[in-house]
Amino acid sequence: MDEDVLAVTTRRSLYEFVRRNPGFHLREIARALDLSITLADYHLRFLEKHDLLSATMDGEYKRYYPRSLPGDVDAKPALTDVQKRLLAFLRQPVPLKILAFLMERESATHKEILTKVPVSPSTLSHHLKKMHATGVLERVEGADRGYKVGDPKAVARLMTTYELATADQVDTFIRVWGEFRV
Amino acid sequence: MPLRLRFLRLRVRPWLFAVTAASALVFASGTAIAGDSDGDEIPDEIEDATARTLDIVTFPKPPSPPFSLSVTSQSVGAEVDDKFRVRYEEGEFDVEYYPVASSGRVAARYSLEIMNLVEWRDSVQNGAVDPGEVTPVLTLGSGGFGARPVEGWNASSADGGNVAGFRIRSNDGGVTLTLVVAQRFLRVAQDKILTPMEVKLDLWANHTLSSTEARVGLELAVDTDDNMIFGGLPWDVRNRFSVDESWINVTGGPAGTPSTVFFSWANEATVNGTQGLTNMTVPEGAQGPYRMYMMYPAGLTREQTVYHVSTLGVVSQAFKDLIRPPVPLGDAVVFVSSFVAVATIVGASMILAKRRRRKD
Amino acid sequence: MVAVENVIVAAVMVLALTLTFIATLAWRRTRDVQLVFLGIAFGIFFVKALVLIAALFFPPIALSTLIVVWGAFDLAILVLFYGFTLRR
Repeated sequence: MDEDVLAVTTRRSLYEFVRRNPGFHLREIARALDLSITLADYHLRFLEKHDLLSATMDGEYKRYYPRSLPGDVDAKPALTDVQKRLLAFLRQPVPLKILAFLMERESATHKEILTKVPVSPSTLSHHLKKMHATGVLERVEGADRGYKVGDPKAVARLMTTYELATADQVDTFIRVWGEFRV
Repeated sequence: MPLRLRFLRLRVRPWLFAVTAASALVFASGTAIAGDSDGDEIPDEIEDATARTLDIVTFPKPPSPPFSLSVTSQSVGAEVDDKFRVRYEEGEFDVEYYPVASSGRVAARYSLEIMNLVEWRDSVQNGAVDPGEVTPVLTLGSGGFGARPVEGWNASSADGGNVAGFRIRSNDGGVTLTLVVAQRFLRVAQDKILTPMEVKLDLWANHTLSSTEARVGLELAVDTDDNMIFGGLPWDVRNRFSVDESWINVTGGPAGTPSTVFFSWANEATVNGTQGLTNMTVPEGAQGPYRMYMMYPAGLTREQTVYHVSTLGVVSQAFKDLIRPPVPLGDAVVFVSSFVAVATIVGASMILAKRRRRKD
Repeated sequence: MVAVENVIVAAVMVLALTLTFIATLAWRRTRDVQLVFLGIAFGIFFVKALVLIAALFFPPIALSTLIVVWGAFDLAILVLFYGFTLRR
């Protein structure tokens, strides 16, 4: 599985665990999910950075807690239009890969994204254009023109909360026919 | 479950499978490209289906030389096999068609007698044979044939069919008739294929004209109790077995299922090696026998050698049945079970693909 | 073998239906209007197979008529596929 998408699913598992088991510390969480301490720490920091988790020091242990309110553990708030558009992209395998890749970095050029997302340059341009037009991605001007995620916190929150794209037969169909162009 | 795991580990390249399957389907479902092993432009498939059996009887029996003959040709493998018979005796041919070979009932028949060799002088120069313009010069018919025995021969065509031939000479040797009949389609000239449903009748005539303005001709008598029509497009031409022919056809039998027998002839004949148009007169007479004159083209000299091709044939119902392609029929059981089978295969492939993705 | 036509048409129907269904799912997922045309193209394959089944079960249909009808369907399918390749 693609590293970046794997990162997304690992973070989902971590977030779910913390949501169901608030107050566990790093070593306990890592052991429970069979992750290395380093990897668990890396992803938990990411979630903390994007305001999905909070951490408090309890003596020598850092304990993690979900950010959502105690009464609303299972509630999924109504989505805004922006969020709906974002979610639509997260449910498509190629845009998901693009977003997962960009979430790990400040920004990336078309060429850099192409190394990780297995589609033709014209197809990638098509997706980037669409995501830029809807505001999900922003352009980065300068020496290395590229793209970055517009609202990483919103993307991170949606990634951990909602069902994402799974690579299935329909995805293959979309990808293959997506290449079928003049 | 070891079997399933083994299957999952099988490295099947999907695109290769798809290409192979598609190619196999195209080859399998395509109808066989018609072969034509003897190059007569009739596909082998049709030749095989429409080959007939030939039964030839000559009379008197050996050791006496034969003077008359009978050719019986019967279809094979039709839903209802038919039969036709061509008999010859002393310058007269009889053609009979039996739509049901086993019944012994003739549906249509005619007789053709080669009466006289004639000379025609178009005194009025109108191209028509007017009274008084025709002079018989050689008696044929029973008086002119019958002194010389019939010579027969057999051969095999390129695709292994039996071909029988007979040579009939007039008593004075001036006219020779050649009969050829084949079990299978046989290309006899660039513009003619001899079908198994007919007998080819070639005429050779040697004659010295009384004047260069005259033309050689034949006086024929056609007799039938059935309905005769002169003109129209001959069956052989309509079915592209020959070109540039004319015919008389005789139709008889029940109104619902009429049978047709015919005499057709080439519109051109060769005189002293040069081709020219023939001229057949419209049959005269309110009822049979109908008198007809076949006039051959003019030549440059008085000594004339004439060669002309004609055909004694039948329109075979069995032939029509044998060459009709089978109408594909819907088979509900086969269709439904195929649908279910393919749906199962497609469903299984989707499930296997899903499992493979989960493993990746 | 007369029955082989039934096998082939059944197979065409199943595959055409499957591809139409997948194309519909793809459109719902991406909301890409162009995929509708793909779905229609595969749908026409299915309709073509229906016509052929009708010809098998309710003969006779003149071969020339059948060729015109099939040709029209094939043309429609190919036009849709080709149009799909021209999209932005």
